[in-house]
Amino acid sequence: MKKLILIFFIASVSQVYSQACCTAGSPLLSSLETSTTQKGNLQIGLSYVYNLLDNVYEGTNYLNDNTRNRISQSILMQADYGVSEKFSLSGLFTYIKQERNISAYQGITNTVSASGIGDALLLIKYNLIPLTILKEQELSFGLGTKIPLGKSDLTSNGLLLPADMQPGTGSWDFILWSYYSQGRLFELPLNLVINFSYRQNGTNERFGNNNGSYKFGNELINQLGFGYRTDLPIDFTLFTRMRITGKDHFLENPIPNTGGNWLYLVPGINIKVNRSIVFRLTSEIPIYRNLNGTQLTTTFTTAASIYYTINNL
Amino acid sequence: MKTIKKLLALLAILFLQIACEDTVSSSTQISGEWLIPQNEVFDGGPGKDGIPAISNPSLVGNSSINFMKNDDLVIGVKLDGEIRGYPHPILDWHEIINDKINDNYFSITYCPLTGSTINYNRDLNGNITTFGVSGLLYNTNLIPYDRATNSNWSQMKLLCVNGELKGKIPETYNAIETSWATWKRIFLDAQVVSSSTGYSRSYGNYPYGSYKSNNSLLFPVNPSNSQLPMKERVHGIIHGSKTMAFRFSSFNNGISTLSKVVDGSNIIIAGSKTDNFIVSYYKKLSDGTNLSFTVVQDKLPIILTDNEGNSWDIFGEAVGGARLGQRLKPTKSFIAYWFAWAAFYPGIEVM
Repeated sequence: MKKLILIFFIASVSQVYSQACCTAGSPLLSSLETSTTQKGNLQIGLSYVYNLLDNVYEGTNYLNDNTRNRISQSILMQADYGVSEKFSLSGLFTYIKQERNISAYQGITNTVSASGIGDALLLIKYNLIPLTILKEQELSFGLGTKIPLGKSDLTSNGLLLPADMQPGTGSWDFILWSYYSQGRLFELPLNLVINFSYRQNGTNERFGNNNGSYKFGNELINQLGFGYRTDLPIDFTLFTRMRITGKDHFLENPIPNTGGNWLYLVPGINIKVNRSIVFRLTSEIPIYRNLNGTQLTTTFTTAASIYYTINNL
Repeated sequence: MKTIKKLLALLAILFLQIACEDTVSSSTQISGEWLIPQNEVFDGGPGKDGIPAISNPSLVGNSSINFMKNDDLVIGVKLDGEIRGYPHPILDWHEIINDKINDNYFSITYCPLTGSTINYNRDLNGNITTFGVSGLLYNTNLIPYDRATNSNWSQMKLLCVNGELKGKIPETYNAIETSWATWKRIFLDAQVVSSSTGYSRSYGNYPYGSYKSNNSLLFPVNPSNSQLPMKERVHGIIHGSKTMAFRFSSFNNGISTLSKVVDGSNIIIAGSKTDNFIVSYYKKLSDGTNLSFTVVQDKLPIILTDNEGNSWDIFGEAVGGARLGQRLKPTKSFIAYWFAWAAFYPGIEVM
């Protein structure tokens, strides 16, 4: 049970949706379960993520523009299985709905929405320092791939939707992941968690095979935070998340108004229903944004998740 | 416990079911055929009216403008003797300004990705309307839509390409393009669109990074042509089936002219590298007179005199002489990046 609690402390930092103006697809990288799973255990999670984007930023400057918003809603199903003492596998599958609302002319709102299965992610994790009750320290590494299951060629009125409205990205990406945790800080029921994730994106042919390749910006996510256990069935977490995204490229040339740096504060609460089931609520609040050019960006994100663990499968 | 397990299983099944369908919906209906290849029309990302056109712009004198640098470009219009300026740094963020001077209703349509400005008449068969930004691009060029019929127009193709007015060729007003340094020197009393647009934008900051000078495109164009540097600004003239491109390098630092005869029509092209303008007019007046022109130096906005003793300004209007107030007929022409001219008019000749 202690390990399960720790896992959920750790996991809550990454269960929120992280997205900027021009990032397509599902919140895969930021939704990775950030711990390994013990041998023979299977953990299944189901999450709903709501992401509102109606802040417009130019660099670090807020622009007062209330003429548009974006709403992204995702359902994520995650499965983690401990293959051995050292290795575990993670799979993440998504369904996403994107909605774009613009009301710039005489209050008329133009709405476009697209929904469908998003991209998937497979990750193999290696547990270099396994978590034990006595030591409560863990260090893990992982690598994986993002599989372009989601469509990236949906059309509206017969016209190709923009990349950031598509459920999928259309590219195979390479994922690097690492994770460190230290429990019982200061002899308190307090855990420190540090996590790095990096996605090297591949290219897609969204404009057709003869028109050159499109590549989304690479993404680095660094997380640092703490979890505090109580004697009640409720635990608390507070993390910071830094997200750095490169510019998208078309024909190997950078696209303006894409990519940037974000810093979020991510508070969370875990409710332990019993030894196997945890319910979680998190929110992601941007506290610093430095975007390339001018972009519509996240105002807030909130997520609700339920996790079920089957021991010794 | 069993209930929760069942609930989880149910949610998983639900997830799989909904994940099997991709759906798209839009409150904007675009129907009917296109006169351009539909698979080459792309949603630029901001969406319909996501780049907000300006109507009835706020105007101020040159001295009140503080967001322009000397080499920034400005579009000039002269109608009924009144001169107005439409700065690129405003148009970069809005792309269309719907304006009027007396009974002349027009829309300055500007595409930052092709560097093209065309002054569309927004009086469509007696129906005065405004144009908005559809959010669509063809050959990475603006597709305005008219708010009377929701028809989509290809800006550089000069054609309504979709909707009720499909096939209609837009009427245009004359417009010039020059640098802010030239503008504020020669049009002392002109009115210029101010940054009080009602929108919060950084008008001094170009929103497309190094796009003006690099060799990259944001969307495909077809065909591509490397005869000139991709982003070189050229003055293109469309006359019947013939299209010609005139380079700034063909003109001197002072004002100089070129003459062309196209299908029997005499055209004079005047330009200056340092003053950053190229304009072109038909030499033949509406009364049938064929004028012979001489260049005027250092008297901008006057650029020409003729054999009758008239002096003509950069807008092609006689500002001195017996023909005072008369206008030379402007060619169907505008300045745009070379790659865009070559994509829209593949047979274009570089002069």
